[in-house]
Amino acid sequence: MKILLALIKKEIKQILRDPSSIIIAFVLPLISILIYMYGINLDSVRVTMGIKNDDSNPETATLIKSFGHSKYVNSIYFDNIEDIKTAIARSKIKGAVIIPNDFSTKLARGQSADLLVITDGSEVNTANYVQNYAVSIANSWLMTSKYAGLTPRPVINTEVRTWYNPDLNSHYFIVPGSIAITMTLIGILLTSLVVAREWERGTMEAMLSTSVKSIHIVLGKYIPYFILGILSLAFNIFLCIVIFNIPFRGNYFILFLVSSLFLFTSLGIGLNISSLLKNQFLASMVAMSAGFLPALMLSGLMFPINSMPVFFQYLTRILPPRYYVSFVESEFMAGGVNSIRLENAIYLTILGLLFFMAVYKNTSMRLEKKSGGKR
Amino acid sequence: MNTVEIKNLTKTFGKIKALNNLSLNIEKGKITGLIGADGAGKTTLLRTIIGLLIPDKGEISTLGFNPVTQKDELTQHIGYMPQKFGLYEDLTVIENLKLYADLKGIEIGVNGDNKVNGNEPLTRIRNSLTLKRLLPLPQGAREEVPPVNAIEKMLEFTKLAPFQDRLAGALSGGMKQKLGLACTLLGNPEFLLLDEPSVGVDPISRRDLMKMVREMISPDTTVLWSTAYLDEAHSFDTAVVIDKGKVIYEGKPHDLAPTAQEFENKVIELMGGYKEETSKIAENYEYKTTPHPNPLPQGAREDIFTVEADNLEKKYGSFYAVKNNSFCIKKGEIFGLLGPNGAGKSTSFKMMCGLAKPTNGTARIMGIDITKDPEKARSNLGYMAQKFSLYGSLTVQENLEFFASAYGIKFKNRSSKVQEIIEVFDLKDYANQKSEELPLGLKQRLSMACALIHNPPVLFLDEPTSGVDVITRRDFWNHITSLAKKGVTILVTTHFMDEAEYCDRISLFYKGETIALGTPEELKRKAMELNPSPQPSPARRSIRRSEGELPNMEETFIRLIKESEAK
Repeated sequence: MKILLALIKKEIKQILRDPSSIIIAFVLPLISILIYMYGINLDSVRVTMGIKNDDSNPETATLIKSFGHSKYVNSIYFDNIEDIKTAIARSKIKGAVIIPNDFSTKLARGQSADLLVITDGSEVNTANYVQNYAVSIANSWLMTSKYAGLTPRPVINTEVRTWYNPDLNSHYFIVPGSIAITMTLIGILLTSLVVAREWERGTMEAMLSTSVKSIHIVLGKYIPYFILGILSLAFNIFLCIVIFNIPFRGNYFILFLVSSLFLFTSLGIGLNISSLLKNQFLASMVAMSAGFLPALMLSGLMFPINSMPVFFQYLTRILPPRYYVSFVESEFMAGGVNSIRLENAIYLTILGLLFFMAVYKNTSMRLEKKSGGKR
Repeated sequence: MNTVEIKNLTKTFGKIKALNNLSLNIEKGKITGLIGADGAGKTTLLRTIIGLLIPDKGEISTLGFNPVTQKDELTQHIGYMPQKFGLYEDLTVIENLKLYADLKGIEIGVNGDNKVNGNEPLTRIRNSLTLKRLLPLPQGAREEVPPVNAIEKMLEFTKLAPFQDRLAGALSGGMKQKLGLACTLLGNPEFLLLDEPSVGVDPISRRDLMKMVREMISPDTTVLWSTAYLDEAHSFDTAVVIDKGKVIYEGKPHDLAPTAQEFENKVIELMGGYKEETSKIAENYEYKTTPHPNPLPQGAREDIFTVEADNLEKKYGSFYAVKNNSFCIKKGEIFGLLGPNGAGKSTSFKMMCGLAKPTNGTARIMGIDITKDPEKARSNLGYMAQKFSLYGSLTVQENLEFFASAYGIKFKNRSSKVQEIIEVFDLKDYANQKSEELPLGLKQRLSMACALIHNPPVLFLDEPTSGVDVITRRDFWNHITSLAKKGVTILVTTHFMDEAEYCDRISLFYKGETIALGTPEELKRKAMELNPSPQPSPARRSIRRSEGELPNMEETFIRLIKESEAK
C-alpha cells in the first residue's frame, strides 16, 4: 500500500510538472469542443443564390421577395445569364433560379409553369440544399399567391415532430460525442507514453530491483490517470452544458459512472500499448491509429454505424468508443434510457476488465530480451 | 561464506552468447570489481544475478535465494544501480530519495506530511524523518546507521543538501550519479550491485562515489562493482575479469600487479593484449585545407594557430556558463580541455563549432571566424559529440554515406570514399548492421569515422572515450596521436586522467573559467608547489611515492580544483 501510494504520488507530480498532460486534459477539450461547435456543421446551411427574372408581371416580384425573406437563402439579383455563370464558377453563389418570361402568363392560364433551378454539382450536398430550398420556397409562395386556387388540396396533412432534438441541431449530439474523443486521448495517448517512458529512461530497471510488484506498477499508472481523466471529464461536461448550452436530459451520476467505465477501458488500451512496445515514439503512433482514429471514425459519432460496410460494423463491436458514444448521445438528448445505459455499461465493463488483465499480464518484472540492451 | 554462487551459467541473446558456461563465487563482505571489454557480458551478469534476466542454463544462488524463482524475496535485500540509473528527472532530489525509500519499503515520516521547505530543509528533515525498515531484518542483522539520519546523511554525503529542491534532470552528470548511488544505498542493502557508476564522471565526483560506498556500507556488505576504470578496480578486494562471457581472472588485484598502472597492463594482456600498430586511419589521412578565398592578412598565420578561442563567453541569464575563455592551438597539437562535470566544457565546445552562439567573444578555425562564417569554418572541422549522435536505425554504411553527403563529398566520389573509410576503420564486418546495435566501442569508432570522412584539418572530440573499455581506449588514442603527427589539430575533453597525459597542452576548466593552462608537466609542477606533501587518495594508497615526485594527473587535477575552490 505504501509503495502504491508512493508511486501514485510520484505519477501525480510528474503529471503536474508536465505541461503536455495538462494541455491534453484541459486545453484540448476546449479546442475540440470549439471545433465541433463552430467548425463542423451537419445541418442545413444558409446558401447564397442568384435570381434572374425574365417575367415583367408584378406578381413575380412577390416570388422574388419570398426568396429574400427565407432564412435559408441569401439572394442576389442578376440581369444577365453570363454574370450568373461567372458567379457560380467563382462560387459566389451556390445556385440560381431563373424565372422565364412566360411564367406568370402560364400560371394565369392555369397551365403548369416552368422555373429553372441551376445547382452546382461540384458540391453535391449544397446542390441538394439549393434544389430543396428553391422548390419549397416556390411552393409556399404559390399557396399564398393569387394562383393558390390552382393547387389541389393536399390529401395527407403531414405534421413532423422531431423528438429529442426538435431543432435538428447536430451540435447537440456532436459536442457531447467530443467528450468521447477527449477521454480517448487521455486514456490512450497519454498513458501509451508513460510506461514506455519508464523503460526508455531506465527508471523501470531501477524500479524492478526494489520491492515493487507488478500490481503496484499497474495500479500506480491506472489511478493517477483515472483521476486526471475524471477531472477532464468534469471540465468537458461543464463546457458542454454551462458554456455551450448543450441540453442535458440525463442523470449526472450515471453519466460520470459510465464515463469512468469508458475511461477505464481506454486506460487499459493505452497501458497495453505502452508496456508491450516500450518505446514512446512507436507507442504514440500506435495509440493514434488504434485509439484516436477509431474513436473518431468508427464510433458512430461522425458516420452512422448502420451505414458502414458489414465488416466494419462488426469491428466497431470490439471498440469501446462505440458503446460510449451511443451512451453519451442518448444520455444527453434522450435522458435516462435504462436499456441503453445498461447495455453499454456492461460491454464497457467487460472490455475494461479484459484490458486490465492484459496489462497486468504484460507488465513483466524482468528485462527479458529487451532489444538494444547492452550485454 | 559467499553472497553469490554461480555454476555453469549460460545466457544467449539470439545468436550471441552473452554468458558462456560461467562459474563464479562472490565473497561476502568484500568489494569485488567486475572488469571486461564492452560486450563481455558484465551487465548481463549483474542482471542475471538479481533475476532481471533468466539464464538459459546453470544455477545461481544470490544471498541464498534463487533469483529465478525468488526474485521478490531477493530484491528486498539488494541495492542495484543500473548503468542508466532511473532517476525521475522531473522530480527533485529529495523527492527521488523519498520515492526510492518508499519503493524499498523503508518508512519515512511518521508525522504525516513531510514536505521539505527550501528555507529550513535540514532541520525539518531532522525533526520529521524517521527511517525504519518495514521488513524483518535478515538473519545476522547488523547494527544499523542511526535511523533518524539516513536521508539527511545521504544528502550530506552526496553534498546534495543545498540542491535538494532542484529537479534531478537539472543536475550535472556527477551529481546525478551521486543521487543514483544514494537512492541505491537507501535501506542498507546487504548486497550492492553497481553497473559502471563512474562512467562520464569527473575525477572529483568519482572519488566521492567511492567514498560514499566505502563509508556508507557496513563491514559485511558485499559489493559487486562493474567498472571501466582499472585504478578503481585495483583498489578493490577482489577483481573478476570477464571476456566473451567467461571469467578469465579472479583474485586479488594486488596479486596480479602491485600498481594500478601495471594492473591495467596485466588486464589488457589477459583480455588478449593490445599491440600498438601503425594507425591505418592516420596513414590514410591526407592533410589538406579547403582553399581560402581571401588570403589571410597575416600570411601564414593559419599554419601557426589553427584553432583560436578569443574571450569566449556564454551567459544564461545572470549565470556565466563560460567566462573569458581564451586559448590558441597550434597545428598538429593535441589540446585537452579538462574539468569537472558542468564546468562549461561542452558549452565551450559547442560555441567553438558554431552550434551555440557566444554571448561575447569568438572562435577562429583555420583563421575563419566562427560567428561570421560558421559554414566555412565548420567545413574545416570534424566534430564528435559527447552523446552518440548517429542515426541508430541506419546501418554503418548508410551513416557513412549520409555524412559523406552532408559534408559535401561529390556523388561520384562518395561510394569509393565510404568503402575506403569502412576498410580503414575496420568496420567491414559491421557495415550492414544497424548502428544502434553496435557495442559502445564500435559506436565510438563509427562516430570518429563520420567525423573524419571529409579529411578535416581540425578535429573536436567531446569525451570520445566515455564508457569505452581500456583496449578500445588505447586503440583510440593511438589513432588520435598518429593523426596529430600528420598535422591534424585536436581539441579533446576527457574524464580519464591518464588520457590527459597524451595531450600536448591542457586547459583546466572550472566554473566556466580557465584555472590553469600548460603542458601536463607544467600543471603537475604547479600542483606540487601548491602542496608539496601529497595525501594519497584512498584509491592510490598502495602506491608509494618518493618525496618530491610529481603527483599524477588525477592528483594534479584535484589539487588545482581544490586550490581554485579555496580562492
